[in-house]
Amino acid sequence: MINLLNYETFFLLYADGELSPAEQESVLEFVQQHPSLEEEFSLFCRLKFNPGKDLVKMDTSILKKEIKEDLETLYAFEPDLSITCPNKSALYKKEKGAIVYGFRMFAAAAAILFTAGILWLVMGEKQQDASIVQLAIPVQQKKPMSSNPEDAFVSAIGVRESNIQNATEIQQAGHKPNAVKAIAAAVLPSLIASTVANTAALQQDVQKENAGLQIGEDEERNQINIDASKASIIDASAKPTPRGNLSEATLVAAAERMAINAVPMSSEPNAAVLINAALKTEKKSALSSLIRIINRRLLNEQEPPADKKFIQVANFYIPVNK
Amino acid sequence: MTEKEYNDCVDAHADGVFRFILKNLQHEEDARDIVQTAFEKMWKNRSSIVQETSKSYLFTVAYHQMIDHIRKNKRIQLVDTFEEGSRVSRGVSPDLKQELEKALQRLTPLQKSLVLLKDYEGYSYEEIGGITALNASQVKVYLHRARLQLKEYVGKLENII
Repeated sequence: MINLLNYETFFLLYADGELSPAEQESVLEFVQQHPSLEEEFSLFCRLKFNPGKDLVKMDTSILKKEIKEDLETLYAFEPDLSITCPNKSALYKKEKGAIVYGFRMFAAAAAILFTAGILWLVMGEKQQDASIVQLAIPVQQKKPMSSNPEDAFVSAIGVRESNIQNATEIQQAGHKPNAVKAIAAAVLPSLIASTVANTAALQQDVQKENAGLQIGEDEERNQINIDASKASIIDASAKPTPRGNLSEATLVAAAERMAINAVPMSSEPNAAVLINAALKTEKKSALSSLIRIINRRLLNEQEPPADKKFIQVANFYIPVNK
Repeated sequence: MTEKEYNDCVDAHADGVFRFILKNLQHEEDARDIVQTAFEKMWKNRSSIVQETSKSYLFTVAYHQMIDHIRKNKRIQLVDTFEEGSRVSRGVSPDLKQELEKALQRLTPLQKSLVLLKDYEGYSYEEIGGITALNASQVKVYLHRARLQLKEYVGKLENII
């Protein structure tokens, strides 16, 4: 509400045009009620600046931007759908999916038949004659260690020969690893006592046999060529006769290893390790023989001659209980 | 903002911005440069500016450019170069408009801007506050002080005359 204390503020607001129509009416009434303030009120109203017409105007041409035409809109073409391609049918191509599909079916059928054949062979091996040839494994008496290295070679070779012979007979009879375990429980102690040679050399032989017969035989031949003196001793003393398909060089190399490592054992060899190794060898030899049979039949290979047939060296079969 | 809208803003607001800056600086070349700078800035930011807010944007940019220009150059003489005696001795006719112009130059740049924005463009206290970075109450107080100074100067002149 305007009064003599705040009239100046209302006069300024009136000059600024910030009052509502009702408030402007009240200010005008106040001025009429106080004529002494009329001159001051008019002065406030005149203290307003109006844009003059004679003011210098700015050249706006330098401010404006050139309007670029939308070329894509102005020069756009629409496709003429009445134009079509003649002889469109000659452009069609047939997919080669039928031929590919037939080949794939044939390949799948061949793979299935091959897999079935493998399984049949494997199952046939397992269902082979369950009767185990009860072969009496000769009990090798422990021979006293002599200082003469030649005697040690002879005894070691003799043990090996008998073990190899037994192993060959057992393999030919087609014994099962599980059935061999029963026999091993009966003859194991005597068998352990008969092995005078170094157990470490036997374990190494087992590991080499698992790797492959061919590799082991090559290493044995190399060792024979290097040390001719040891071979002459063996030939003069023992002259081992090849058993099965073993070559003379193989036996010489085996005897050589045993002679080098002929150290009396302080403790009995670990029978469980030997049994497990033999079982593993047995399993792998059966699978490897199966694979060899299949490869020969597929590739129409001839059976190797008897004198060159590969057989594991120094691999003895310990019958164990299932 | 399209190119056409920008050119429409030039036609609508270029004179007002120029007038505002010219009244403050009293120098045509400087005012032209400031106006051109303001429009260039609006052109660069045209993607984020709508035509409805282009006027306030132009005045805001021009005002701040003007303040920076004043601080750098200090062209405006705020000292009273006229004596009351000389005014009377010369017998100048009481041309209120000219006196107001002279009185306007006696104000600070901020007060001058507030008066011109209010009288020339008709902005409200809030709109003036948006341009000058003040709130509405500050605009009201500063503007009233400026008018009282104008009244005092012109009133003295009229009393003398």
